[in-house]
Formats: sequence, C-alpha cells, structure tokens
Amino acid sequence: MSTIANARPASHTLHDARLDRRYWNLIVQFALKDFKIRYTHSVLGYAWSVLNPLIFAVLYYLVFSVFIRFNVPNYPGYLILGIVMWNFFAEGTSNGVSSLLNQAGIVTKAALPRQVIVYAAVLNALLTFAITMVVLLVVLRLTGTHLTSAVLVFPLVLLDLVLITVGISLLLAPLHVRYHDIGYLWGVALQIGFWLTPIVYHDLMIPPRWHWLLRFNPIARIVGHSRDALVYGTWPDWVVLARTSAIALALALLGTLVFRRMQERLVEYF
Amino acid sequence: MNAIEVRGVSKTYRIPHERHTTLAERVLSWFRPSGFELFPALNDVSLDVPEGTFVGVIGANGSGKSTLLKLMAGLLVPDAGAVLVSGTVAPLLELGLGFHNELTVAENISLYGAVLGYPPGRMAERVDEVVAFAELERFRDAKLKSLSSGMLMRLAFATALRADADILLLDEVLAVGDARFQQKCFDVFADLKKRRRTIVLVSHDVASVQRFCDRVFWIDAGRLAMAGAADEVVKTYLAISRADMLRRAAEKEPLSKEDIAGLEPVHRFGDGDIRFVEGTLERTDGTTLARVRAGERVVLRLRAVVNAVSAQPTFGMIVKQLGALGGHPVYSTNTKFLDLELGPFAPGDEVEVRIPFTASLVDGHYTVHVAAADGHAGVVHDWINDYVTFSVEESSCHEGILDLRAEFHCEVVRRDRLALTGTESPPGGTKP
Repeated sequence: MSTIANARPASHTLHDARLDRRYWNLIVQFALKDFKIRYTHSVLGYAWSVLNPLIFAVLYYLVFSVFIRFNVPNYPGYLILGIVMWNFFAEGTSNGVSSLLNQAGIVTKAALPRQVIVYAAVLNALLTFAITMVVLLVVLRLTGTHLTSAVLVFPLVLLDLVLITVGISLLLAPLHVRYHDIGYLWGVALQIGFWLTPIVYHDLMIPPRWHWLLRFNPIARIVGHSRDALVYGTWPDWVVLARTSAIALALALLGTLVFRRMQERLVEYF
Repeated sequence: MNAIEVRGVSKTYRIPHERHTTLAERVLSWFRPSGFELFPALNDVSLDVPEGTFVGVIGANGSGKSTLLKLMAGLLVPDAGAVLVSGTVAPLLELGLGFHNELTVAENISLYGAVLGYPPGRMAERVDEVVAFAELERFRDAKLKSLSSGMLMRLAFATALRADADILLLDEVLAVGDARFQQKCFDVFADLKKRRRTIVLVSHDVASVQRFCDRVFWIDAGRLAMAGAADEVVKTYLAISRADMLRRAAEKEPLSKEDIAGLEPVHRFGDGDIRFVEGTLERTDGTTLARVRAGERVVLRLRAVVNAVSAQPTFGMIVKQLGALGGHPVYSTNTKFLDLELGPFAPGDEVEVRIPFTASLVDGHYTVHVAAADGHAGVVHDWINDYVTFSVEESSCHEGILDLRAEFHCEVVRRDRLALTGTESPPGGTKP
C-alpha cells in the first residue's frame, strides 16, 4: 500500500506530452546555447549565417542566370528565397534528427521531456533563418521587389515548414539513436531533395509528366507558396495551401506519435 | 511519509550480440534471428525513501545502482513493479552535465538553471547566488574553459544545490573542493534536510556516503543486499567487498603487504593501547611466504607496540577462507581461550607474538584477522581484518573443508593361487 501523497510514476515527467512554461524556457535556452557556441573561434561569427546562403545564391545566379540563362522573372529573389527556405529545412532536420544522439549526456542523464531537445534543435535553425530573412528582405528590396499584402500568408507558410521540419525530426531522431545509418541516409536524402525541389530552376522547366513529383514534395509546395507571398506578391490558391497545411500537420502528427512510442525505451538504445 | 517508493521493480536490459567482422557476415545476419543477451540489472527491488532524508546507494560496478537512480528519475521505465514519487524531482543526475566550455560561468548557470527548473523570472538573482556560493565572483564572465577543475566542480555543485525540486537525485557527486568548501556543502545538505528536501546519492565513495547519508541501500547483483543506518551498511559492505577483492586478487598471485595496503581501507578498530605494527607469515626457518603447502607448519609473526598498561593482554587470530560473501571462518583462537598468561607489558614495550600453526587446509585463499584485547576489561585494543593473507596449495583434499592428510595403503592379503598366473611380483602399493 502506498503511503505517498500525490503518488505518480517516476516516468511521468518524461512521457507527458504537454510542455509547461518551464520547458518552453528551456527550449529557448538550449537553442540560444547552440547558437552562441556555433561561431566561437570564428572571426566573422554570425555573419556566416548570412554569408553562406548569399555565396550560394551568387554562385547559382552566375551558373543558372548568366551562364545557362534561365529566364525566370526576378531570378535573384526567386533563387535566394528558395535557398533560404531550403536551408532552414535542411539545417532544421539535420539538427533535429541528430539532436538526441548529440545530446546523449542530457538525454540519458537528465529527466526532461525529450522532445525539448528536438524542438531546441529546430528552433536553433529557425534563429539562423530569422537572420537570413532580414538579409533576404534587403535583397528583395534591392532587386526591385515590392511586398504586397500577400506577405501576410508567409507566416502560415513558415508555420507549415516548421511543422514539417519538426515532424521529420521527431520521426527520425529516436530512430537515429538506434540506427546511426539514419544520419547518413538523411544527409543523402537532403542532397537529392535539393535537386528534386525547384530551388534553382523553375517548376515550368520540368516536363509535365514529372509534375506529380512536385505535388508530393511538401518542400516544393512550401517554396512555391513562399515565392507567391514574398517575391511575386500574389495570393495563394487556398485549396492548394490547405492541402500543404494538411500534409504538414500529418507529418507533425506522425512524428509526435512515433516519438511518443519510442521515447520510453530511448535511454536503452544509446 | 515517503518521497519515493520502489515496489518490486525489475529491469532487464537487452544487450544485442554484435560480432560482425566482415560485411558478408553482417549481411548474413539480417536473415538470422538477431541474437541478444538479457542482462537483469535489477531484480525485484523494493525500498522506501522517506521524505526529508539523505539516502545513499552503494554497490559494486554493474550492481544496478545507477539503473535504480535512473528509474527513480523516470529515465527508464521498469519492466515489472512501479516507482512512485511524490513532489518534484530535480532532473540532473550528474553534476556539471553539459556545461559548455565556450560559455561564460553566468551563461552556464542560467542554462543549467533552466534544466534544473530555476524559475525563469528569478534567474538573474539565482545566478548571483550560485556565483557567490561557488566563490567565483571574479570569474563570473569568464569562459568556462579558463576555470580550474576544482572551480568547475564547485560551480557544478553550487548550481545543482540551488535546484528548487523536492527530490535531488545525484550520481557520484560528493567530496568536491577543499575541506572548507566541503563543510559549506555539508551545511547546505543540513539546510536541505531541514527544509524536508530528499536527496538520493549513488556513489562509490563510501566514506562520503557514510558521512552524509542517514540511510544507505546496498545493491548487489541487482538485488537489495542490505538497507539500514549508514554506518552499519557501509561497514558491512566494506568488510565484504574487501574480502571479495582480496580473494579475486589472490587468485592471480599471492598478495604482498603493499597490495593489501592499496586496497580499500582496512577495517580496523580498537582503543590503541596496544597496536599491531607488523604481521607476516613465515616458514619455521623465518623466511616469509604467501603460498603454503597444505599441511605445512607455518608461523604467524606479529609485532605490536604497547602504548598503555593493559591488565590482562590477550592476542587472538581468526582464519577465514575467502569466499563470495565474506568467507567462512575456519579457525579462531586466542590466548585467553588457551589459558595463556601474558604480560604485564609496560608502555613503550615492543612485543613479538609468534603463532605457529599447521595449515591443514584445503586449496584456496585465506585471510587472517588479528586482535589484541584486554581479556579482563573486555576492551579491544586493536582489531584488524585481513591483516595477513595467504593461499594454500597441493592439498590432498578432493572435496571438503580440511586437509586431513589421508593416505591410502592397500595390499592384497589373501589370494587363491589358481586365479592369477604369471604375476609373480608382489602386488600392492601406496598412494598418499
């Protein structure tokens, strides 16, 4: 017979899916820590967060607009927005997928809800994204793009992207602890995904029989929505956007369910 | 009221067999059922941690004590049974876990304060308190990598002790800093206890456990071996694990005095009026030995100094065979039992005691406890466990506890001449 007042199983904290305020604070703290640490011992520091996508944008611009002569309206804006969105997805998922393994000490020795670690990893990528967004807006301005009220859709598009990133991270992070192959596989998947997504090229350059590939590629959909909102200033087709959001929600839900199932024995997988 | 209740908890780890050396083997293994070994880390353990106590968990490596702590923290889920907690549990099991070298002292504190659940609104205040407690005011904004390891430990300790949780679970974290800082920590422990906080400490450092803990649980091979007052459990644990260690060490080679001195602290007590200063096992010709042939006559030679007058000095010895749990006494005697009058000794005397005995023992490892006491007053002057160890070899014993030096003498005493022909030589023989 228990003599404990308010007795509850010890594992309660870890497996409680709801996060209270304390844990949100922790997510922010973890994300900021990684952000602060990332550029120690570097002269340019945070500037790298901006320089990196800029350099690639310039490179792709040279290759695809000057050398190969793609004829895409407002190509610099088109290109750099695609890169920034993709970079967030790529960085967010690779941070997220490897987060549990990277933070093995915390995961195995600290009784925190484990999704905190994954969320922090994604939030860290989101911080980088925020910095690059500022630069992006400057570039759009310089290239003569004017924002319209359609920009209001962008937060929703971004939310979908975050949901997808979190969903994939939650799905793969516990698997990664068990099978390190997941890390390598995801790296390859990102490489493939970059070229299967219209980031440097335009949707219309793809032969019509391959268009289904874009429809089922949630990142392609998101990149498309974000270009409509920021670069071309047009309102989205709401049905298409709703489908994108449905995919994003489904992925986030799937990730959450798998994560919840796997986290019980997570410590034993290390 | 209990802060933690562990009810019939078992936990078994599955350890997968990984013996792929070539790619082909690895590929083949996909088609075989994957093998794994079950390692029972805890087996039907039940214990209570009362609220407001400082509880220690001791045990050898791999005994399951860290598993127990992880179950209490909820990091692991038991296979059977339940772990119930009441109140908030500080989530860090290890001091300074995840401290980052590139962050400043203050940044690290607020980060780990967040992990430990410092209230976000009062973080700045807490950081100041921790910095002050750790005596690192001058290093507040220095990166962690510029701190000495002693400072790091102080910082980690100070951070952990500021947790607001009702229950602190700590893995291997005592005895940091110099004596003064330790005293400060001790004061904090006392204060935490006063505020009805519960602390569970898992440690190898039994001296600290003995010093700080009220109750101690000793986990051995996944089971609760003993629970009780700290002194009692720690003493028993030390005596038994030392005997066990001696036995294992002696299996490789006989132990020298230095080997023994290097092991766990000798379990020794007494008022010191007479103190042993030397103890050796010798052959009758005076040469020391550690391996004894069964049945050999050997001499245990002890030297002791006398510090105060003892009315009826008595010396004794206990010979134990080292076994899995404490070993069995095989022989004990003392001068009082043998009606030997010794002394009187005067303070300053140095006494040599020679105890010849016959090692009629079976093969194995043995340890000798020695004692000097006052048979009249019943006080122990000096008692030392495992003062001398030796091994016995070449015993004639097949199974048993003593070497009785049996010999077999066998000869044919009657024979029908017709039964055997051609064997003219007289049969018979002896085999000791």
